[in-house]
Amino acid sequence: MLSFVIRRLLLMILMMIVISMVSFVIIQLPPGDWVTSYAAHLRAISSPASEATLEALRERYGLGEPVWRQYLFWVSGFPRGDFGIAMSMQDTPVADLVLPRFGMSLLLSLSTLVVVLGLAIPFGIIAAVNRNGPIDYLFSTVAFFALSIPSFIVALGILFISVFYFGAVSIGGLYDAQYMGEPMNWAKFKSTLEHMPGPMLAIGLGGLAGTMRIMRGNMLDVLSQQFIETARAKGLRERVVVVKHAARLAVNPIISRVGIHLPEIIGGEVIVSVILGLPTLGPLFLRAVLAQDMYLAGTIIMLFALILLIGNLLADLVLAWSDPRITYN
Amino acid sequence: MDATDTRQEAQAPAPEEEQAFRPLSVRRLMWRRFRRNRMAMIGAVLLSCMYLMIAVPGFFAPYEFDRGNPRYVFVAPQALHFLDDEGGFHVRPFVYPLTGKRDPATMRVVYTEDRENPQAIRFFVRGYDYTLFFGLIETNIQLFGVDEGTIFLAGTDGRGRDMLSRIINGGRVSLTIGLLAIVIMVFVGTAIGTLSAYRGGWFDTIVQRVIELIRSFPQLPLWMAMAAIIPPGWPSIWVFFGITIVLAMIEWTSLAREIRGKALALKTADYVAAAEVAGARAPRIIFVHMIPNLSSHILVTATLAVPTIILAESALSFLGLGIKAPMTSWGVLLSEANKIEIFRLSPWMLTPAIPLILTVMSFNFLGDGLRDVADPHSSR
Amino acid sequence: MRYLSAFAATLAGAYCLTAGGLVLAADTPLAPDDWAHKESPMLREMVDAGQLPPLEERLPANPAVVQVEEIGTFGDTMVNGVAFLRNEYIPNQIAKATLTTPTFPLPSEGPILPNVASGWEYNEDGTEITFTLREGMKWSDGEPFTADDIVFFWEDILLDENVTRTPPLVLAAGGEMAELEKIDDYAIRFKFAVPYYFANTALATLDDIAWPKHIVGEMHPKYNSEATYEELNENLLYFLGRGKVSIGAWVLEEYVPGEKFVLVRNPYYWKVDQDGNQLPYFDRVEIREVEDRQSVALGNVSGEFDSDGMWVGVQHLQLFLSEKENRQYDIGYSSVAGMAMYFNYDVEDETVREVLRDANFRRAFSVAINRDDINFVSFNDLLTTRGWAWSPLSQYYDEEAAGSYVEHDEDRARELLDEAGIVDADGDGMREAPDGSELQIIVDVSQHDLYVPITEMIREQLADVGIDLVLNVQHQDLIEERRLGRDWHVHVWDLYGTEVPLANLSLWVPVSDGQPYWHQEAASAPFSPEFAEYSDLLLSAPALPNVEAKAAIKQAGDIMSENVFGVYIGDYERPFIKSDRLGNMPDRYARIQEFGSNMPAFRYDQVFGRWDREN
Repeated sequence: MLSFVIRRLLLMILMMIVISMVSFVIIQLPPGDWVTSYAAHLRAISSPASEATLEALRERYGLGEPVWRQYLFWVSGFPRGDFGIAMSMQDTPVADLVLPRFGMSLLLSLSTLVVVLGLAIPFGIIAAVNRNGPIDYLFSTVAFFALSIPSFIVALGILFISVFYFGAVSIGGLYDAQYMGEPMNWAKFKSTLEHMPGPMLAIGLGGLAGTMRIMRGNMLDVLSQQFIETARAKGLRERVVVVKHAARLAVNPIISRVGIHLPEIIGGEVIVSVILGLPTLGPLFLRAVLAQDMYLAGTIIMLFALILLIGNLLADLVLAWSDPRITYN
Repeated sequence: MDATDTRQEAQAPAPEEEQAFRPLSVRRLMWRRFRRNRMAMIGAVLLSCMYLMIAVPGFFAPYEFDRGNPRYVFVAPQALHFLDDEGGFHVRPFVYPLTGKRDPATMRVVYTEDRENPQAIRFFVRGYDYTLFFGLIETNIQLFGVDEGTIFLAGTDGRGRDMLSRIINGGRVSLTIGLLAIVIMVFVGTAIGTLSAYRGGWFDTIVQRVIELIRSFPQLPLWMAMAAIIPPGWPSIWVFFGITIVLAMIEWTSLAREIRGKALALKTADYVAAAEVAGARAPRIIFVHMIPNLSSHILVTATLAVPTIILAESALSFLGLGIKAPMTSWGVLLSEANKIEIFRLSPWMLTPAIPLILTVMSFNFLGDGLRDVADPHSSR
Repeated sequence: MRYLSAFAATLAGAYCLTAGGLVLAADTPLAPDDWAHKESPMLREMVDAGQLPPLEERLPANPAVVQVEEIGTFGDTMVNGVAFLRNEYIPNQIAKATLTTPTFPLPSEGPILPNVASGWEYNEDGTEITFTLREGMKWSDGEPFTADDIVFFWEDILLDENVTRTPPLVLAAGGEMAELEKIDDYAIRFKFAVPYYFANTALATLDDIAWPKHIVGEMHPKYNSEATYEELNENLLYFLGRGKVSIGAWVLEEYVPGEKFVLVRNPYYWKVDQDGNQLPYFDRVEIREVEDRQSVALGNVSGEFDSDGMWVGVQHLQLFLSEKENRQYDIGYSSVAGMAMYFNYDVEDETVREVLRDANFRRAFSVAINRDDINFVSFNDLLTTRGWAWSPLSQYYDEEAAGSYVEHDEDRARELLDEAGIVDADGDGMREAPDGSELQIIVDVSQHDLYVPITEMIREQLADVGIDLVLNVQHQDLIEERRLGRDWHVHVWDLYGTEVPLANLSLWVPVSDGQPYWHQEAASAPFSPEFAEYSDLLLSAPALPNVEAKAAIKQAGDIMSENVFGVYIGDYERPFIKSDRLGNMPDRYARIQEFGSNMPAFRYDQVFGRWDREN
């Protein structure tokens, strides 16, 4: 087991290296670079910059260099904790920009994940046990509704209702405006918790419904297996049969799904955060990609990837622990 | 699961109420079982209707979906009336023609009904030209229409385009993109997932790393890069296929992982071991012993993936990277409606959500029904 | 339009007068005791605590006196939203201090006025202009602001080739950059190669005129042997410290990347209201970053933000009106130039190039467009149609030129196309190019929630006369990328520069190679004799005496409207939103890109809060 974990950790490092390379190349795929998009901005506000200025900027950020040299320049700073500077963000060091937002993203993603699983698994079990009964139909109907509505509609709907029906003044954010720029403290954290349900709903709704459906399907699979009949025949109480025997087995694919679910949450987070203006990595990432700010975008991709790899590793470990039939050799 | 399961399947006991003496074929048995699932039947019927509709959108859509009528912007859905002002009942429903005038206080165009001039709905009317069966037949017959005025049963958008016609034509893209991508995804995902679990070792490791690599990228830059690379001169239909393939190529990974997770457990099942001992080869074990046992899961996942694909397309549209005009899709329509002023003032533009929800439900109920049929254990 | 056409006369007045001889614009000074203790309580506390000298010592000898509509009250914070312009532009615009300034909120109702400069004087032949500065004026850190700061900025920043800033083209007259000379601590002089009576207007378009020599000079190798150009270039940015010392109304206090920036009042600001209260009224301005236009609009409706004219637009008007009763905000209108379609006369595709170069094709294009329908659908009936002609806000406006090829007329369009040899040869309903090949014109339009639907309507309208347009809708950056190349056919964007064409001549004619971007070969190979004539007229205009210059520019305007060098839809009334708590906000203003697109029009330094925000 230990050797498995070590091997996975080593692989993770290798993966991160590959991811850093591939992401760096992908970000540079569209024609143009940050300077072109900056020039476009300047033109949009009708104060176009001269070619000389743009050239100087290119030189300053090393944009004229071949991609591999830019890449080496970027990664060589990593050991020092230097992830480059965010060109589109007034030359703020990337590390300063992403760290507070990384925390917010992690908090939001993980709590959404936990809430989604925490609700989806029991709901799925209940639906399966009451198969084709009114509760099952109710759950399924609600789930399909939730599944079918794009997260951007849900997010805007939440915003719309809060502003037009509850008279909210704030149009988003993850904490009250007065905490902007403050380091995390108890008051800010409390404010954050108060603001989280809306975004969590918008991000997690689709996933909740989907996971619930999968859990229901798995439960039905397991419940029809012979050992369940055996357990029932032995006179165990139905509750024990369902929870102890069936659910434990049925939950396995859900756990292996966590690794898949996380990037979905992250993707949803990007879109929902854009609409709700959340101070997470999502909007920053979108801006960076649009502005072709490759150091910033590259670093954020790596952070997303890191969340995912860790999530996958944990999921595999839980899977191995919960299902003794799976062996690693 | 164990080896006895396969025997059970082979024997396929007839349901209790089956009174016929002649044994029924497996296919008929399945059909009977499927038919008994009312929700699945409803789903199948609904989907058939929708696919029929998108097969000949020109017939069902009362107006050209990509042409606006500049004098009818943001018209709320027109009511179908059966009772006239005198209280008389008409079997043939009618609508009142509208005239618009801008209200200087709200700047909105207010449409008033001309109550004197009710327009009965006519069926099989001659309207705009369209072609059927890939241009073989040219015609201009629409299912319904009115002689004078307009009939906007789902209202119009900000350019005066009929929402109903847009929804019907948008369904063309949404419904096909879902199916096409699912076919690709199921094929690739199942094959790679089972193989990865069955072979294990370095193959499994590489496949898992590649999947992780693909899944580790937020799809955004990938799509942005695509949008930048797709030449502007490309016709909408090419862009459509491009997007289908991209969606499928990213989505297959989740199925492959799930299949692998299940197959890993199956691999140690007694009957697979038995088959191995009996000298069965890898393809036989995979296709005969493993995939059939995974089919219910594949079905559930595939039906669930239809909305994922349709919604992924809508997310692309939201980011401005989806289907190109003049083509449209439910995702495009919803992202057009995703504005606070629409929510507030023209909520009928959110109606594309209704067929979307119906489609998702239908696919899921259909999936459930198929699952009952395919899964030998679920006879209850 | 009613109040706009006056602009011609007044802008002209600003420098036409000068043609006759000398003109001196200056403020009348206030008596010193008039302004004693008329400052924000926030500053008074600092004075009382001994952290700041008293107001009399902070103001220049002759502070700029602003006639405000209503004497405001001091204090509180103004909060605005910002979407997708997260650079120094916004803080610069909010607190900018130009040498001269147009009359606000309607430049059409007054001349160019003194600002940082208290007055100016042309020499006899118009080749020199001398600006007088305000004696005793100080930077926000209390250091004196003198001619040295302007000269330092000009010579050591703009003209120094090692520094990544370049001098403004608008100060290059007769093809040569102006020379700047210090007369004394409070006077500077620009010298031009040719007469340049546009200079005082030109300086109203330049946001940056001086940087603090006592701070930036320390980073400059010329003044500090330890400094390097590399470091200097890295430290030029507003947010890296330069913004903390300014002569604007507010200076940067806090910047939280990606969330907000906070500006705090400049204790040494040199403007007072007519009662002698030191401006600005608001102690702080907070700008919160949101993701899109819609969030800005929504935040203004909900009350999170106080005002906006930059991100909210016609698409939000009905929402604003529908909610107005329940909320504390009001709606104003600004006159703004709308959507234009630029033709690429040097497109690589030869067939398309020949078609675009045919004046009859362009005329047909313009008259095939039904501007009334577009007005009804997209502009709430608040559009004033115009052809490819100078703006009614300019002194070159000509009603006939503005109306040429504007009226919707499909038959005329068909005739013109037939004349151009663009006919439907194969009978498929769509016209082919004169050489018989399929004609498909690609229209580049960025994802703009107003322009995309309009362009779609135009596509339908042109299809009615047999012209096949293909829309290429993409993110603005990608469209911009294509615009810089030679591949594009038609480019959709705002119409710039028809109000003050001389301020950015390179938008119109080849001031140097590669200009204008829609005719990059114009310098060496103008596409038609008409273009060559128009180009000569405009290029000669800056050096001509005013009356002749005006005639030349008007003539060029006639040529461009007759030949439809581009297609323009029209000017429109664009709504803006302002909280009821803001005092001294205008109800109307004219947006002229050259004078800053909207922020300065609000003159936030005069705006005050009638009551404090709750959050």
